[in-house]
Amino acid sequence: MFQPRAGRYALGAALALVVTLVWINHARRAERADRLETAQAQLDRGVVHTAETVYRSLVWDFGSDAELEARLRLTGALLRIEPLLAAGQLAAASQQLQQLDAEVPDQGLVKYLLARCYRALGDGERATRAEQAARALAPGLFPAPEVVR
Amino acid sequence: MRRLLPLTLCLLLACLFTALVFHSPGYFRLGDWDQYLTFFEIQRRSLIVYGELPLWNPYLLGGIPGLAHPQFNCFSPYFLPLLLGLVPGTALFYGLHVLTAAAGMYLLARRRLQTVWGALFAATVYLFCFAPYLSGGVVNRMNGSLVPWLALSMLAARRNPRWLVVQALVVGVILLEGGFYALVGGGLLLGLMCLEERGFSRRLRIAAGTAVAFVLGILLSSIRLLPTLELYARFPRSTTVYADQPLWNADRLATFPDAVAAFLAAPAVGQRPLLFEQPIFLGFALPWPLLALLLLAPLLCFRRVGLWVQALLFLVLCLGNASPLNLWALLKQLPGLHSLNLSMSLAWVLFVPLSLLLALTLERWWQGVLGRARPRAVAGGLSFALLAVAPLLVQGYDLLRRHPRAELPPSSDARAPFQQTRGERMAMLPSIRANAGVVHAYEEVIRERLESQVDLPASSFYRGEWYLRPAGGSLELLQFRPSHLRFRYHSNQPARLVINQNYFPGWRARVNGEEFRVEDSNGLLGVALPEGTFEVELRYAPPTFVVGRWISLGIALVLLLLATKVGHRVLRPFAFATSPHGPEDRQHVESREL
Repeated sequence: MFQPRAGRYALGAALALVVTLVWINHARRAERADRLETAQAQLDRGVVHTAETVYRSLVWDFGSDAELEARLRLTGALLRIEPLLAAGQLAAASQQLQQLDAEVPDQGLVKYLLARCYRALGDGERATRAEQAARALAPGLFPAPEVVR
Repeated sequence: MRRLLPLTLCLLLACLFTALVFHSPGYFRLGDWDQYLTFFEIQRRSLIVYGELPLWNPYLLGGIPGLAHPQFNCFSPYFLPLLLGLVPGTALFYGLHVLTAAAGMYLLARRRLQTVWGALFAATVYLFCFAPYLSGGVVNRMNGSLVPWLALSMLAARRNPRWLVVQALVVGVILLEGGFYALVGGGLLLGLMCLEERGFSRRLRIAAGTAVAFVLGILLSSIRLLPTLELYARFPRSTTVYADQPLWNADRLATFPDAVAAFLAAPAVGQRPLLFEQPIFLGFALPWPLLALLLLAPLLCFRRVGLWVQALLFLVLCLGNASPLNLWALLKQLPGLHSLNLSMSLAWVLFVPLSLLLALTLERWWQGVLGRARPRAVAGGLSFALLAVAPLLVQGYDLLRRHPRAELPPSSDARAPFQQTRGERMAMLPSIRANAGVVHAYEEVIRERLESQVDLPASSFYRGEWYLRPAGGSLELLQFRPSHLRFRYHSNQPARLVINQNYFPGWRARVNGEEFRVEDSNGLLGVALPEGTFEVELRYAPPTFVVGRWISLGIALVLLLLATKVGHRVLRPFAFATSPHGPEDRQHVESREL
């Protein structure tokens, strides 16, 4: 029934499948890393909504994990804090931002918003420190965007 | 009957995939579907409600040319189902494109492959091309599904020159649907296919025949092409996607394999804003067994140099800036092509050689395993089902699962003409269904130039959809159609009639039967009228449309004539007495390669 060379053809197909799986796996990792980077870049420009959309699409395409859940918690919290800032409830906003800063320490946008709150609340020293940290982490936030979204 | 069976299978496949995808009208909320449904509805409204061609589109951006707009496609035969209704018509519009693509690819593959199931396999692989266009809602690019017919008609015309008439019709339909990129890509593919022929004389004949068909097809689409060229001449496109990109970028070598994998097999179909720092259209969700087949292809089909050149060239073009070799940097230097953008339409061209290569590889593989005398139909049919049909259906199901059922808002009756509202992206469809129009469209071609001239009802400058300046006389609307208005006018002093639509050449006015000039009145349409009582008529009928209409009609008659026996005699110089390819093409290929 089979040709004498059938074994070679079957082996070739098996090898091709293995190489494909390795290739696709690597490509998916690269795409995931690239999209995570894109989302972080959006966050560092203050575009929280877009970053959240990218994180959600990553969960959809690649499945959820601890890192993505943490990122989504961050964007969710930032989107909840935004109305507080807009309404001038700075004390409540700064409290939530401090919590967020403790949970996710190296986010330029959190530092930037904290700096704004501290300055508005009259705490110049902490405002300056937070602003310096924000400048180092997310220089794209300066000059400040008009709307944090 | 045996010949019809595969085509019936194509039809079933097309119906199944279409039905699956269009199971939920909520699907239309995706991507740009809302935008294209808007364009469909505007054309339907012009044709059905007002009984005229959609020459002018009063609902978007303060009034813009309609038929000239690249997204308008009412002259395409695929538009006919839309007269039945927006949602079912759109599903049929899509389904007919699927069927055309499947049938075209099957017939083309029959000329290049040895088995029926191999050709069906190629046709099914070709259907994977629809996925990102579906999820992106880029309806205007589905004209690319006619590309296999371009190739098929060129091959068939070698024996029967009347196929050049079919080729001209295909070119015409592609252009009537606004498929400029598909046509450029398709033309390039035909050029490469032509080089595969043996002998200079044959190549020359085929190229000449194809050129004649292209010219006839382009002329056939004059009714729509000339107004479009006029629009583009006034509002030239510009793009920065490929600006400052080098022809060769070694940095992209590292990410190239990943970009190829993402382009062909990304798990979620659709356009990414950025991938590997470049905008990229990707995600055909090819299953990994098909990709493995692609890896086997160089081993089993290495002699099909022509197919490889075609596949690699269009892969590089489709990847754009994500490829180390960026041919767009070169193409943009050519005269008339400086505004080239969005290589996504070229995926239709890429999938022609790609589908053929995959099907050829599968055929060769089974021959290697079972031998040529063995019953290949069972093995081939099984592969066809497992490797192509099943993944395609899974893909359709996946699209459906990701975008669950949602009802569209009900359509309402037409209200005041010309009324426009400022709509958000997701509000466009209900807005146009209410005949309210949408200012925030996506039309990058002319938005910047025209949006500032739109007078919104909320604006303090808004004085109505038509008014007299200075005020004082009376103005009564006698008839409204989007591109044909009639008023009864009375004034005791000279006045200017102003229509709240963007000024664009092509509008003409008649006052009591006498021709008057329509002027640019601060960006709006204006007619200076004397004192008295008159009937004023404004009509939009650009000369490009009038001339184009006659050219199209004339070429349609020529094509009808060429389709007869007379045409066979006229077109005979472009054909061969006996073809080295054609049905015997397969034996020819076999003898060379096996």
